[in-house]
Amino acid sequence: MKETVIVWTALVPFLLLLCFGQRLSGLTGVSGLALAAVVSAAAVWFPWFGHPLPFWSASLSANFSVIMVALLVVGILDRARGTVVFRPADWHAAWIFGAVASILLYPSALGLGPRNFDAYALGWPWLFWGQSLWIFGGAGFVAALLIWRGNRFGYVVFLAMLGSAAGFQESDNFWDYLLDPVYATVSLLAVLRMLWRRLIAQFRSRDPSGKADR
Amino acid sequence: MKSAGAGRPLLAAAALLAGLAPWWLARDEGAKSFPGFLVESKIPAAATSPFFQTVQVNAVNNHAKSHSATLAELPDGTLVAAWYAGSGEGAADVAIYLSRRGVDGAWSEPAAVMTRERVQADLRRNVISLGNPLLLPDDSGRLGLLFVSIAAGRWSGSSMNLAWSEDGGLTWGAARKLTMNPLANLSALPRNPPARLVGGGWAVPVYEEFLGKFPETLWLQPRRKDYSAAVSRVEGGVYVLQSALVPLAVDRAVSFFRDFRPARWMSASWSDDAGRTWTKPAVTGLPNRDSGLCAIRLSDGAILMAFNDLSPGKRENLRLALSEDEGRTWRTIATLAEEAGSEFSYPYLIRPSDGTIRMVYSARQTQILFAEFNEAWVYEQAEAAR
Repeated sequence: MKETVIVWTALVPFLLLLCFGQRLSGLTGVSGLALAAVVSAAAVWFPWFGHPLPFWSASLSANFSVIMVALLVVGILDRARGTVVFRPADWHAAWIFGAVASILLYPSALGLGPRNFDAYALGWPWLFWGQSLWIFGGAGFVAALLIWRGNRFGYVVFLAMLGSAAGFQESDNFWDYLLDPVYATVSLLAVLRMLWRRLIAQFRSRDPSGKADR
Repeated sequence: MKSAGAGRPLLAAAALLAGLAPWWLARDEGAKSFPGFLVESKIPAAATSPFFQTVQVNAVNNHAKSHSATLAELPDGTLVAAWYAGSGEGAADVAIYLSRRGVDGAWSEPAAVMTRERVQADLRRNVISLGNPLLLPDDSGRLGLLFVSIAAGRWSGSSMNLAWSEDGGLTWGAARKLTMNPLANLSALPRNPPARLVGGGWAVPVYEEFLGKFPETLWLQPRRKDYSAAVSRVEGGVYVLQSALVPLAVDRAVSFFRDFRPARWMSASWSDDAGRTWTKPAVTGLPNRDSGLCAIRLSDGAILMAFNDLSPGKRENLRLALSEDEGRTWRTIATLAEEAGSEFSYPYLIRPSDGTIRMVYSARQTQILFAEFNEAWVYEQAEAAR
């Protein structure tokens, strides 16, 4: 087992605990972050049912995406520093990217799409080398476009691509650096929420009487 | 839009290049990603006088369940069989057992080579049970072992692992996890013999059974000191799985499937591009009531299939069938085992360097039986069945 995988499977539960700890305790600022980090680190290494949390998180998945980890870090920093690392447009880009990638990936990977097409197979650069360009080049294009337009989520996609080139995860598949089931679920829910809000706003704008508020 | 700073265009260009870097770096491997099947046409037809013999591999058996056997020949001629055994399917005490047959012809006492505790320590994650081993004999003399570990639930919660032995299966290095699925790497299992690839490595027939149930090919190709793993789809949906892959030429192969549609007929797919794409499965003339099957190519190009024929129970017999037209039509030629109320299942066929056909299968999911016969015996049976 790669040493980097051991670190990665410990990092994810640590960041999740830190993020939830910050929110539940209301701790802010650098001192609050330090306190939450100490408590989270202790919880990560505490033997739950005989094993530390990385053992259980690796049982669920050893391939949490770089993007999800980066978004957790951004969320933690936003709260600790009281400044804005990600603006609303950056978060919107993160959720739309996650939702679109999920729809492209999961149905076909689970055998529910076209009969013998599997988008996941294109994530191994050497297997379907020609067609893989669509996935690798597509992600590069999205990252470049977002960075060009000043959207900070572009840097996160860039980071995921660097991670894939370094190959530090258990998986060699490019998709696993971009996406995981947790990020996919949160993204799909966030996009549904965004669409719902937009729909409500449109409905209200067409109803000047304000009856839609009732 | 705000005007881009001096650094931003550069970073955007770097992001584009970072996206293309892994793809570009893989260009050499990409050029040989489907190198073709190694079809050993020079395998002799073995001894001319017909012979057939069978023996129980796990004569010493303390387990309620022994199933899903695999078989391989080492470069020195030693045969190695492995299977999973324990108190029941998915039980915590299930381990991968291995037995070797040396030059004296006797099978060694089965030894547990992979236990739940050991795999859990190797992988640093929860393992509730093990299953479906598959042996991979390397040209260099190393022996690979693919097997599944179950993290939760039953077979749908399984994922695949690979370990290597440098001494013919006596001792094993640490197992490593193969990622084959983006949804928590759930539900990938091996079952049937791998096909050797030109330039080294294997195409291993595998399958998924989670939301979809479908066959795939695991491509293991030499890369640095280990093997790169990648998976391609054979067929999607929820109706066939556990393919038996038979190479016909360097770029041509046929796969036969376990079928669990109501009609229950064995179906087959063909590939003309070395396993990259497959035709839609077509029904053959052999029945398949949702049971495992296995096939090999004989020295004259005919295909020999071991399968469960129709019977009052699900798997009360194990028969052999022969096809001389690449698997389109079949003739049942022999019965290897038959007993009312019993079960004979999961045949696994190999045809090693001396041309003798060797097979392991489960009887009542407790005994692992080994059968050995030659092509002369196959054609004698075929003549008798006319």
